[in-house]
Amino acid sequence: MTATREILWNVGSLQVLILYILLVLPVAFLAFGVARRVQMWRRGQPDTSRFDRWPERARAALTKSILHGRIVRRGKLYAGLMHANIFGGFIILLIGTIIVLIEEDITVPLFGWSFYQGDFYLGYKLIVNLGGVMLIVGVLLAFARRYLIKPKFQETGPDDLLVLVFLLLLAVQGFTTQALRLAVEGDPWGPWSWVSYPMALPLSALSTGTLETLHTANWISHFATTYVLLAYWAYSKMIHPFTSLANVFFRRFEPLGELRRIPEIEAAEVLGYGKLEDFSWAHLMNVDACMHCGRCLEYCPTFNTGKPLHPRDLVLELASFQADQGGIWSGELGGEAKTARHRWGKGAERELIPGVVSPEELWDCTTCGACIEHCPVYIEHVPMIVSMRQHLVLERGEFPSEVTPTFNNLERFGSPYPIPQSQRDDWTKRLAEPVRYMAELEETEEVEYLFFVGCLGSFDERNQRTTLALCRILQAAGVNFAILGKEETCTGDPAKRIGNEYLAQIMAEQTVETLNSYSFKKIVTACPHCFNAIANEFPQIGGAYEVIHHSQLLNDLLASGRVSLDPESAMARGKVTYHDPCYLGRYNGVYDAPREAVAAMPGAELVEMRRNRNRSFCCGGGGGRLFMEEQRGSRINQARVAEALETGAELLCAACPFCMTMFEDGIRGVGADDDFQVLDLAEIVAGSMVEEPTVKQ
Amino acid sequence: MFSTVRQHYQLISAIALVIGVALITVAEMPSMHWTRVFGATAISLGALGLGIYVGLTQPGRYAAARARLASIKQQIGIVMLVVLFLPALLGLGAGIAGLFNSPGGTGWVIATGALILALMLAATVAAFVIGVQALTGHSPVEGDDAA
Repeated sequence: MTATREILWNVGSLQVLILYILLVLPVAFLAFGVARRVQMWRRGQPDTSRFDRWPERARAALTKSILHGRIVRRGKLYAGLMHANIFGGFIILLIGTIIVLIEEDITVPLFGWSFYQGDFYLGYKLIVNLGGVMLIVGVLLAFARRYLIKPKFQETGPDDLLVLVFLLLLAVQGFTTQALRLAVEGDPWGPWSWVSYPMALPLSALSTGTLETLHTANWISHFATTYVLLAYWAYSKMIHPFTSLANVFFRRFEPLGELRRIPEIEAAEVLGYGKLEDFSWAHLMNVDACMHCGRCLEYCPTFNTGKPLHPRDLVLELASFQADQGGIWSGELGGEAKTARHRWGKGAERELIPGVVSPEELWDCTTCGACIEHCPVYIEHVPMIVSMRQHLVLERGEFPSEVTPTFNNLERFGSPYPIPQSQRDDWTKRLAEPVRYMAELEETEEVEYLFFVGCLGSFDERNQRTTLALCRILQAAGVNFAILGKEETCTGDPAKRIGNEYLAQIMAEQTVETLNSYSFKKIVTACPHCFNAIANEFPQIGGAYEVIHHSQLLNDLLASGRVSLDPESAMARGKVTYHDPCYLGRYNGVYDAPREAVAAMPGAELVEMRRNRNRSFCCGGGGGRLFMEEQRGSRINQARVAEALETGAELLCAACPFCMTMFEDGIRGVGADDDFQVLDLAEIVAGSMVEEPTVKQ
Repeated sequence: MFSTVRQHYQLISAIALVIGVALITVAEMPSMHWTRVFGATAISLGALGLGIYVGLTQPGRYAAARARLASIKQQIGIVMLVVLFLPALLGLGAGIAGLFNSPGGTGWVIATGALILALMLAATVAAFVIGVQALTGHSPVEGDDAA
C-alpha cells in the first residue's frame, strides 16, 4: 500500500467548478491594483542607471531580500526571525499548494503520472506542516510585538492587523481541514502530518457526517480566505514582497554619500521634485516598497528628538498621495485615518509641498543617512528629501531665512562665512614652521598629500585648532604635503544638501578646476563633508582623486611609528569615547582607523557609546543644518552629548568640524563644560606626541 | 500582429474568460478532467488581461461601483470575517469537545492534540477579535502619531 491521499476528498464537483470560476475575481482585482501601481511609477522620470550590473542585482535580490540578509540583522533578531517565519512559512505553503495542483490538474490527467505518493508524499507532509507552524509562529510573534513589546517606532494600523489575521486564519484552516480529513479516513500515514494528526484524534470522537460537513466548510472557507487575500494583496501592505524585491533589485549602486547632480542645470526645465511626476520612476517605486517596519526611525535624529520629520511617515505620505492619484485605494479600510500612512482619500489634487509633505519635514533632515542604512529595502529617503529641497530653493525661492547669508557668503566669498577669501589661510600665521602652498611648488614637483583644509578648518576659530594640530603632526612626521591656501573654495556640500544645486555645481566645478591644475598623489582632509564630496561627487564632473580622511592618515602614521607618542602624556588618559561622523562612517565606511588611533593614545581606554558605527547617532549638523536654527523638538547635539556622558568618559573624540561645532554647543547646553570636553582626533594625537612645538603660543 | 492584439485586448481577455469557464465546466465530465488546467489558465489569463487593461487604460472605469463598495467596506469586511472564521472555530471547538469522548491514541498524543487545539482556538478567537477591531477602527495605534 503506497502512502498518498485523495486530493479533493469530500469536495463535490459543483464546489470545484465554482472555485475555479470565481478565480476571475481575485485575479482581476490583483491585476488592476498592480497595473495601477506600475502605471503610477511609469509617470516618473527615466533613470537608466538602474538597468546595469544584472548579476549583482540578482544576487542582491536573492541574498538581501529573499534570503532575508538585510532583514535579519544584528540587533534585529526578533523582528528578523518573525518576518523570516512568516515569509518562509507562506512560501512553503504556497509551494505545497502548487505541488498538489500540478499532481491533480497536470501530471495525472495529462500524462497519467502520479508523483504525490510514497516517500515524496511523506516528506511533503512533514515539510508542509512545518510551513504552517512557521507561519503561525511568525504571526503570533508579530502580534506580540504589536500588542506587548510595542517598540517606540512601531505603529499599528488596521491594514497591519488584517494582513496578519488573514495569514493566521489561512494556516489554521489548513491544519483544521487536514485534521478533519484524518479523523474520518483514519489515514495510516496520518502521523506524518505531525501537527494535524494529534488534532485529529479528539475529532474522531465525532460522527462521520459532522466531520465531513465541517471539512467541507473549512475547505471552502480556506479557499475563500485565499481569494480574499489575493484580492486584497495589491491594496495592502501585502504588496511589499513584490515591491520590496523590485526595489532591492533596482537599487542604486552609487556610494551612499553620493547625490546625483542635475545634468545641464542651466537648460533643465524641472529642478527638483515639486510633484510626483518629477520623481524618478525608481523613487516612485521606492515609496510603494515601504513595509512600515520603522527601522528608518530607530537612529533618525529628527524622530528621536521630536521633530516633524519621520522618514517612514514621509515615505508613506508620498505613497498614499500616489495611491490617491492612481485611484488605487479609496479610503482607510477601518476607522478614521490616524497616522501618516492612513491618509488615503485626502485628495489627489493636493500640492506635494506643503499639501502632502510639509516644508518643516524637509528642512529638519540632517541627511545623516541612518534611514537609508537601516531600511531593509533600500528606500532612498535622503536623495528624495534633497530633491524636494531643490524644488523649494530653485523653483520657489523658499528656504529658512537663516540660510540666506550662507548662500550669499558662498557666492561672494567661496565659503559659508562672511570672511574674505584673502583671509582663508590666516591660520597658517600661527604655525611655527610654515606650510607649503601648491601654487609655490615647482611645476615638476608632486607632493604626496594635498591637505584640503575646508571652510570650517580655515575660518572657524575652534576648528582652526584642529587644522593647526594636524599640520604639527604632519610636519613632525615629515609628511610631504601642501595646501591650496587662498585658492581653496568650498566643495559645495552645504549648498548641495540644502538644495541649492545650482550654487553647489559652481562651487564644485571651481574646486575641481583648481585641483586639476596641480600635481599630487592624494588628498587628505579633516572634514568628512569635503571628503565625501571629493570622493563621491567630484568624479561626476571630472575630478577623480584618491582622498583619505585625516583619521586614516593619523592611524597610518601611528602604526608605522612616524609619530612618536609620549607615554607620560596626560592628553587622553582615562575613558575616551569616539563619535562616528555620518559622512565618514555611514557614508564612507571609515570606522576602524579613528578607533585604532584613539586606542593607541597613552593611557586611553576607548569606550563606545550606545549607538555607534553604522548605528551611530547624528550630531545634528549635516545637510546644511549647521547653518540653520533648530526650532523644533529637543536638540540633537545635546542628545548625542548625553549619550557620550553615559559612557563615563571625560573626553569625546570628534573627527569632523561640523560635529565639533555641534558638540561644543551641546556640551555647554547640557552644562557639562566643566568636566567634559570634545577634541578632534588630531588635537589628541598632537597633544600626546613627542615633538618640538611648531605652533606659536 | 501585436498592435492588433493590443487593440483587441479587452475582447481577447473576455474570450479567454468564456473559454476558461467552458473548459472548467467540461472538466467535471467523466474522462475530461484534463481540460481543467487549461480552463484555469484561460480564466487566470483572462482575469489578468481585464485587470491590467482597465488598470492601465481606464482607471476611472467602475469608479462608481468601487466607490459603492468602499462605502460599505466595513460591513462587507465584518460579514466576511464571520463567514471565514466560523468553520475554523467550529472545527477547533469540535475537537475540544471531542476530547471528552476520545476513542483512541496514546495519552501523550491526545494531550498534544488537546494543547494544539486549545492554542489554535485561542489564537483564532484572538485573531477574529483583532480583525473586528481593525475593521471597526478600534485597533491600537501606537507610536508618535498615536496622540
